[in-house]
Amino acid sequence: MSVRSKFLFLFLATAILPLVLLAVFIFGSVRDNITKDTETTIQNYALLREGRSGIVIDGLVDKTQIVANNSDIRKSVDAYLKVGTAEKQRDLNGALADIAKNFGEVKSVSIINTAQQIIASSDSSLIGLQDQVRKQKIVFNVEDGMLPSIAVQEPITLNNTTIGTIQLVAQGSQTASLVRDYSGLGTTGDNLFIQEKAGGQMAVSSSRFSKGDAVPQELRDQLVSMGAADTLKKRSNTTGVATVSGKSFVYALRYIPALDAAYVTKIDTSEAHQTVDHLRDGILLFALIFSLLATMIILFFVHSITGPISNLATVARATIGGNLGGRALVLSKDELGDLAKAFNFMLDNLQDLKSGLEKKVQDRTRQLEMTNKDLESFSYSVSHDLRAPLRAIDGFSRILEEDYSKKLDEDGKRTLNTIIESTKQMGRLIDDLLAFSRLGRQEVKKQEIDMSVLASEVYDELKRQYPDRDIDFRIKKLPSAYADASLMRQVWINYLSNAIKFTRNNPKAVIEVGAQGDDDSVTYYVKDNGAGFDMAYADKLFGVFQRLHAQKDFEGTGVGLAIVKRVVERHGGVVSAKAEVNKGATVSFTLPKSHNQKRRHHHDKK
Amino acid sequence: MVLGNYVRSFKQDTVSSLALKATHNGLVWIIFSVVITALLSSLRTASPDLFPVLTILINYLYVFPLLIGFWIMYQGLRSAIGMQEQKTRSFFGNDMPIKTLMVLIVASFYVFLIFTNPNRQDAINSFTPASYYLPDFLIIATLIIPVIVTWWLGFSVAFLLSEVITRSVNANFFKAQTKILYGIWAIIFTSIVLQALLSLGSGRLLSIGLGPLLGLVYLFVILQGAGYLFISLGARRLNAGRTK
Repeated sequence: MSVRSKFLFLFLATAILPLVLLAVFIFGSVRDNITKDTETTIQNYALLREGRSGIVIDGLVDKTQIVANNSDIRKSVDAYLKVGTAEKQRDLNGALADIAKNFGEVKSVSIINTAQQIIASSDSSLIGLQDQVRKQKIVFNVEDGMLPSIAVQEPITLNNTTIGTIQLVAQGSQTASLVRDYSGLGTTGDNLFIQEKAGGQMAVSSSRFSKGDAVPQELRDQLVSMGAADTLKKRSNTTGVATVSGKSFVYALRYIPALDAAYVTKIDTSEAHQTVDHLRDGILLFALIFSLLATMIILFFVHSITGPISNLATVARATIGGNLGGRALVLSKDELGDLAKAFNFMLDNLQDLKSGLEKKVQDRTRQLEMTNKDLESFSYSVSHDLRAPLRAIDGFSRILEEDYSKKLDEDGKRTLNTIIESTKQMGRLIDDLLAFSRLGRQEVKKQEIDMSVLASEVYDELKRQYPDRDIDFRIKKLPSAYADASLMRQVWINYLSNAIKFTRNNPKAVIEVGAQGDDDSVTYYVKDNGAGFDMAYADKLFGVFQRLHAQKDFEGTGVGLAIVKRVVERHGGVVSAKAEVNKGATVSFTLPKSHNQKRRHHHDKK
Repeated sequence: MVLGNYVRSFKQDTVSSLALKATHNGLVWIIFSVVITALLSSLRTASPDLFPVLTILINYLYVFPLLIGFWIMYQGLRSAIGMQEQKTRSFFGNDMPIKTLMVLIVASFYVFLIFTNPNRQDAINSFTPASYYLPDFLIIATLIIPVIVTWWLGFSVAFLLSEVITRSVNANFFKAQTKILYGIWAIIFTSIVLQALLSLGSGRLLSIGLGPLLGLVYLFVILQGAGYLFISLGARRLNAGRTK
C-alpha cells in the first residue's frame, strides 16, 4: 500500500470517523431533546387549554351571577311568576335576549322555575322544555363534530327566597377559543375535546380537519391508537408517539376534571421533527464539506511529502540501472529538500569516483595490453629465435650420428641419442608455444558449426594414426555451435588426442562424446576410461606447461589444454574437467548460444 | 489555450507529453461544459416555461462532460505510465481500496441526501422547484451511477497524475504539474459540493438560513475559481519553462 493510501486511511480513521461519530452523537442527542421538547410543548399546550377553559368557565359564572343579581331580572321573574301572563313572559324574554346579545358569545340565557322547567329564554324555542335544563351547576358538553358547549346555572333569589334559576349556555367564540387556536401547532397540528357518553360511546368535538359536522375516520383511528377511551375511563393523562396508516404523530391527552372531558392535542411527527431534519441535513452537508476540504488539504500535504520522496526513488532506480546522470529534484527547503540535496551530493561523488575508476581501469587496461603485446612478441620471438640454434643442434647431431656413429662407443651413442630426442622435444615445445602465442592475436571468425560432423572428422583423422588401437568411440548428436571453425577443430583435436593417448594402456578403450545445454549455453564433453588424474591437481590441468603425468608414461608438452582454455575463453566460454585416477576423465567446454540458437531453442520447447 | 499551445509544441511522445495531452483534452470537455451550463442557467432563469427541461439538461451537463473528461484523462495517463513501465496498468490502478472507500463515503452522503429530498421530482411551490424533474429509476440510472463513476475516475486521474509528476526530472515541470493536479482536485471537490447542494434541494437549502447558504455558495465559487486558477498558473509556468 502506498504512503498516500496509508495517510488517507489514517486521516479517515482519525479525523473523518470521529467527526462522523460526533455528528451522529450530537444529532442523536439533539433529536432526543427535540422529541422530548415536542412532547413537553404538547403537554404544556394541553395544560394551557385546561387553564383557559377554567378562565372561560369563570367568566361565564361571573356573567351568570351578574344576570342572577340583576334587580330588573329578579323583579321581572317575580312578576311573571306571580301574574304568569304572556305579556310578562314576553318582557322577560326580551330582557334575556338583550342580555344574550350584550354578552355576544352566549347561545342562550334561560330562566328555570323550581319545577325545573324553562319558563323564559332568549331562545323562545326552549320555553317549556325540561330536557334542556342541565342537572349540574356547570356542565361541559361535547357532541360529535360540534364545538363544545358550556352551561352555567345560578339561583335567582328575592328576599332570601329562591324563586328560580338562571341558565347560561355558551357555544361559539368562547368555546371555539379553546379548540380553534392552532398557534404553535404548525400546519398539521390539531386540538379537540372528547367526552365519554352513555353506553361507553365517545363524543369527539369538531376538528381542524373536519368537513361539516362529520368527524374524520382518520381522526377516530388516531384516537383509538392513542388509547383515548382508556384515558377517559381512567381519567388520566398520556403523552406519546403513535402511527396510523404509516403516518406518525406526537400527541398529548389531558383529562380535565372540571369539564369531565379530555383535551387532545396532536401534531405530525414529520412537522414536529422538522427542526431535527433541518439539523440533520445541515450536519450532513457541513460534515461533507468539512471532510472534503480536510481531505483536499491532506491530499496537498501528502503530495508535498510523497512527491519528492517518489522522485528520489525514481532517480535512485535510474542510478541502480547504471545512469548516474539523474538528479533528485530539490523542491523545498525542509528536511525533504535536504535529503534530495544530500542524495544529489552523494551522486556527484559517486559520479566523480566512477569517472576516476573508469580512467584508472582504462590506464591499467592500456598498460596490460601493452604488457601482453610485449609478452606475446617476446614469446613469439623467443620461440622463433630458439628454432635457429635448435635446428643447428639437431642438424649437427644427425651428422654426428650418421658420420661418426661407428667411432662412438655405447655411452657416446646413448648421449647422442638423448641430444637428438631432447632436440625433438624442444622443437615440439616451441611449436606448441608458437601456436599458443598465435592464439592471442588470431581473429575469431564465428559461424554456425555442426559439432557432430567436426568431432567425428577429427576423431577419424586421429584414429588413422593408431590403426591397431581398439577404441569404442561413441558420439551422440551434438548441438551446433556459433564459433570459429578452425579454433573449434583445434579444441576437438586436443581433447580427443588426449583421450586416445590416456586410454592406450586400456585394452578396451571407450571414448564418449556428448553435449547438454540450457537456455543460454551448450556444454560439450569428452569422456574416456583412461588413466584419469588426481582431482587435487585439477586446477593446474589447463595451465601452460602443466602436466599431471610423467613424460615417460605419457608424452606431451603440457600446452594442449592451455590452448583449449584460451580458445574457449576467447569465445566467451569456460572449460572444466573431472576425473578419478585409473578410472578415466571427462573434459568439457561450454559455449554461449547465439541469438538464433536461443530463438530456435524456445521454438523447439514450445 | 496556454496548455494547448504547450502540448502542441511536443515533437514526440514522452511520458510527460502523453500525460499533459490527456490532461488538456479532458480539461477541454470540463471547461466547455462549465461555459455551456452557465449559459443554460441564465436562459433557465429567464424562461420559466422551459425551467423543467433546462433543469434536466443542466443536471446532465453537470455530470457527463465531467465523466468524458476524466475518462480521457485517465486513459491517457494510463498510456503514459504504461509507456514508461513498458506494461499497461490495470484499469483499477494501484490505489483501488482508498479510492473506492473515499468514493463510497461521499456517495453514501449523496444518495442519502437525494432520497430524503422531498422535492427531487416535483416542485413544492414556485419558490421551491424540483431538483431533478425525473422519476427515481432515471435519477439512479442516469445521474447517481454516472456521478459516482465520475468521482471514481476523478480520484484515479488525480492519483495517476500525482505519480506521473513524481517522475519528472525538472523542478519547474514538477511544480507546474502539481498546480494542475491541485486544479483537478478542486474540480473533483467542486463537483461533489455541487451535487451535494443539488441533492439537498432548494427547499432544504433555504431552510438552512441565508447566512450559511451564502457561505456555501461563496465556498463553491471560491473552490471552482481556485481550481481553474491553479490550472491556469500551472499551464503558464509550463509555457514559461519552455520559452526560457
